[in-house]
Amino acid sequence: MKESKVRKKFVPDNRMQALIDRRLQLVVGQKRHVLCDNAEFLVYHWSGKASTFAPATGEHADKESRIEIGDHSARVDNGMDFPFTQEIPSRKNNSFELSALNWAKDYAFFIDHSPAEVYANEALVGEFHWQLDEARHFQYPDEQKEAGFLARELGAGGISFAHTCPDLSIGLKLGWTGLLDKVRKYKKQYQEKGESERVEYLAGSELVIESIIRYIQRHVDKVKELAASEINNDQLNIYLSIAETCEAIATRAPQTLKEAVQWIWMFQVVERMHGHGNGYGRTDQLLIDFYKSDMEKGILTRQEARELVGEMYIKYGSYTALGGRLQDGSDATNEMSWVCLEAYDLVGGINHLGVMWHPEMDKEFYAYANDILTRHGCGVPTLVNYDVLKASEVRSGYKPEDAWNIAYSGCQWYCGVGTEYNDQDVNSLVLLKPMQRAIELGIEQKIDSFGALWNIYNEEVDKTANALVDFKNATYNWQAKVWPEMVTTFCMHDCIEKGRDCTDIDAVRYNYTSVNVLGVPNVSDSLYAIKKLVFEDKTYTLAQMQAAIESDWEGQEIMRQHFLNCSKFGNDEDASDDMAIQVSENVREILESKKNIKGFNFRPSLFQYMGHTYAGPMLGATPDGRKASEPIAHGMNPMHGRNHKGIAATVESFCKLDFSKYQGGSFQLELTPNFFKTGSDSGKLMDSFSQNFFNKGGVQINFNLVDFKVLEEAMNDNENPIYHDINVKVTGYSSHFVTMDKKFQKEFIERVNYQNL
Amino acid sequence: MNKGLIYKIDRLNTHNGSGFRTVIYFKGCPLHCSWCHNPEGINPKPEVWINSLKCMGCGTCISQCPEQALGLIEKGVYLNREKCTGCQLCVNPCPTIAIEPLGAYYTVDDLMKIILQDKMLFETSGGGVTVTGGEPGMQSDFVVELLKACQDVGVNTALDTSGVVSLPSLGKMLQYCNTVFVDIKLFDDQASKYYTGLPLKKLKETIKYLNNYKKDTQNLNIEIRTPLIPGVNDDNESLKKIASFIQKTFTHAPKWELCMFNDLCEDKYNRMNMAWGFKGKKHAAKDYERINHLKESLPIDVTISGFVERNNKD
Repeated sequence: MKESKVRKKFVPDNRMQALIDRRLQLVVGQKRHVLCDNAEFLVYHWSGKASTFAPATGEHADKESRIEIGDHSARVDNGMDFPFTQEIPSRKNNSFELSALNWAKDYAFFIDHSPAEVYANEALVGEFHWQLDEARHFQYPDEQKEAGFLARELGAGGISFAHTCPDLSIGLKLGWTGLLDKVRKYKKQYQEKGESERVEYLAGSELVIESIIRYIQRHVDKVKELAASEINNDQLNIYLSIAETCEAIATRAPQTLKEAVQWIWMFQVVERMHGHGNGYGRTDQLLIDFYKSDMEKGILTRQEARELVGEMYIKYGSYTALGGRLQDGSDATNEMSWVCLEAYDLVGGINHLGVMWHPEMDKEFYAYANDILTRHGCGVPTLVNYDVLKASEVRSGYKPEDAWNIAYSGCQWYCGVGTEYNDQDVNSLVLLKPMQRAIELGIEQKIDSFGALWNIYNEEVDKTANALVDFKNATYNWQAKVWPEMVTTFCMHDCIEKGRDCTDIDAVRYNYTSVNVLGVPNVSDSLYAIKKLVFEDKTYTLAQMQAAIESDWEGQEIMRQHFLNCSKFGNDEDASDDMAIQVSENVREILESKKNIKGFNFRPSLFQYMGHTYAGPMLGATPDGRKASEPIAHGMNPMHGRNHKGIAATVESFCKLDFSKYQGGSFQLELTPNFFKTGSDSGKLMDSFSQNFFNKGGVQINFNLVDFKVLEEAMNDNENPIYHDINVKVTGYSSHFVTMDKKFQKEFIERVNYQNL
Repeated sequence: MNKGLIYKIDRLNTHNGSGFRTVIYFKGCPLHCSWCHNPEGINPKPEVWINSLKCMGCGTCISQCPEQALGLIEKGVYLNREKCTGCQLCVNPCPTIAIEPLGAYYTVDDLMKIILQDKMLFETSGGGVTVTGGEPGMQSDFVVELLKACQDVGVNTALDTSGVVSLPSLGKMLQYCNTVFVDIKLFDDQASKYYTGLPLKKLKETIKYLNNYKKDTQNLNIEIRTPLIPGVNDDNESLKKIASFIQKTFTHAPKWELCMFNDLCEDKYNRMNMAWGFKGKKHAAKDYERINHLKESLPIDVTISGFVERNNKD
């Protein structure tokens, strides 16, 4: 929905409005793009080129093939490359090594050469333009790449990056200086024991923290310099306040809400310079004590609190979580949960916060979340089912004392706060590939029953899974040396204590490998159609079907229609829904039977964030009647236009799956404004709908209220400023519609398929 | 067991009563409103229609028809409605689902199974079941059974009637209704005959009956709806007449709603092989503003619903 049309409950003052305006200008100026290498990266989550997402500048981004996947980057692109790339220690001295200490020296140099910037009106500072992966060589050794290409051949891939959720309470309690003391303490201990590897790691950590403290201190110097020549009294006061806050967090642990928010934002800035995009945990739990203490002392008003959190949202609306339960199982909603939602109602726009619902949640709070969701109409907050998240972690092997403290931390990811390295976001298993091999083998072996085809399919899925296991293990062997996540590690439990990076083996408490399974609805719709038309009705042979698919159904429209119009997942029809369950359970059992070298098993996720848009032509036509040029289904959501019985039936189909057995499976809900009758309480309806969905076992709702006519106009008139402030929830991340790649825009519009209900 | 002839069931509907509703469309209507948005609901017998956008012209259906009602023309398959008996034998063989059945028979149990899937939603959103049509009153025995079955399990019920219904039947249905919606479309006998096929007498009787019913039983929620038809009743004078009739007839003024007009049903007329006089007619934002302004001069409260075409790039 258009940001400018939203009726906000809290009205921003001139200062806040100026910051909101700047946010939009950055987007319109294409300063917040997230890019990936190429279409292959989206489908397999690995292209063999980059080991991460492609930064907009630097060595990885090939301007011809890279794809803009949105504008949800915390980084602000200033159009320049990092100016000191050639002087970075590992390059300058030709001393590049795959080691944590070598990495740390580059990081310290990198941050020391990143400017401290302060912009007019802002009370919260910290903005970055470059990520270390643009300057430091980020490539795994060849053995890992070879395993990657083998996995690709069989339909799998992945990188290990993003959406871990550090426990910021560790940092808020100790401050940077306290963290430095902690690192030094353990370094000394390991020195005494003669454990040089751990000592070296902690020596690197020391360099990193020292550089971060210098970076914060440079912000103090910068505002003091600005203050010296400032004549506007209001601006002068802001500068002085920034100086005080930054001085405090450079020298001790934060004590006020303002210091805590600045600490959290600065952590995100220096952590995201790694190049990744983590989640930052349960903001309401992190900040409640600061809020209460300030309120008791009378040094804070609720509006000031909203503005502080709101400024952080303007800087970047990271993946954060509100609500959920406390360790004793009681509702975790507190005053700060309200402030965090109110802050959104003050600044609006793109944000990735999630509200973790459970049946005992404060009803008024949940009602407010739904009111915001429908009033702002751009997918904020994401609604997730806390009890299902927790149940799935417990099922994986989480101890109860850790499992309660989970947070929504990515498109549809959740993570143990500070206890889990979240290797979830970008592993991919393209389920259509083993199916395609199974069909070919089935024809070769002249099979005559669906059971026989299923057995071959099962073996082929297993082969693909094994290739992925080999690839991930090859990655894990090197990850902590190739690209340690040192800043994240400061706020992870047990890691500094062990002198190990959170990406390392035997570091964090939990490190399952979750895998995005792409194309479950297409595979199950295909297998069901084959079962019915080839083996039951014997209308066509497998070979006839295969020939038609190979020619993209050319000249076989009647056959295509027969395959297309078999019962399809998403219409609450048991025959096709049962197949979807069978297919999901099968890939789950196969993945769960595999262990990684860290000692944790693989897990499936019924989600894939954007691969479905580009996978079509790469994979060719499919037996579900899909032509090669069409996208494939998004996550577990039924294929566009195939859930002809409407949302209610789709919900029934969707919730036949037990989501506590999977690492998520978000439900994408795009409604046009006409869905809600004029004058009806859409917030209340959404409240009712979402609770009904969660009570049936659903795990996440990504909701958009979009007028598809407007989106069509926007797609054809991208440059027109009247469309610049339309925000949409793409798959779990938010983006301005006009900044998305054309293919994404088209897919998004086609998805809006509930308008005529 | 009684069966009802139903042509559509719509779950999660927010447009026909409070909260989320399961809306059940009964086939058959005594009126023939020239602007009707559900022309497939008028004929009280099963039918089919053909979506020519989906039809590939493969002709598979033609041989299936026992009445030789189907033939092939340039645009695809054509249905001779005079010959069609509504047997729907042509529906299944169609590979593209271009031929869709209009009307299927359901028992109360069949419907309750569907309805109860959303019971929790009804409770949390204040919703329930709405029976509409066509005119549900044409199948009143079945409707009574259905509404009773709903109320027996605590599901809120609403009846949407054209008002052209036998009063004893209406009385029986109302026993199991929480809300009744009744349309007042026109307030001129001649216009009514011209546009809907019937004079206003029956409707006026129904309205009076409803008022008396309400006086006797209290616990019935009456809502009047007036679809605004461009050039027919959306002028100030017509609306004032309807307003003063409502004011005079009802002891307590019921809720009154004006629904803006759109032309989204145009394709339905193509599929029904019917001509439509309202092609391209729809209310725009400026009409909404006019009606909204007029509201103030009306003697009773009214709400405006429905969507209108946006101002250019608003």
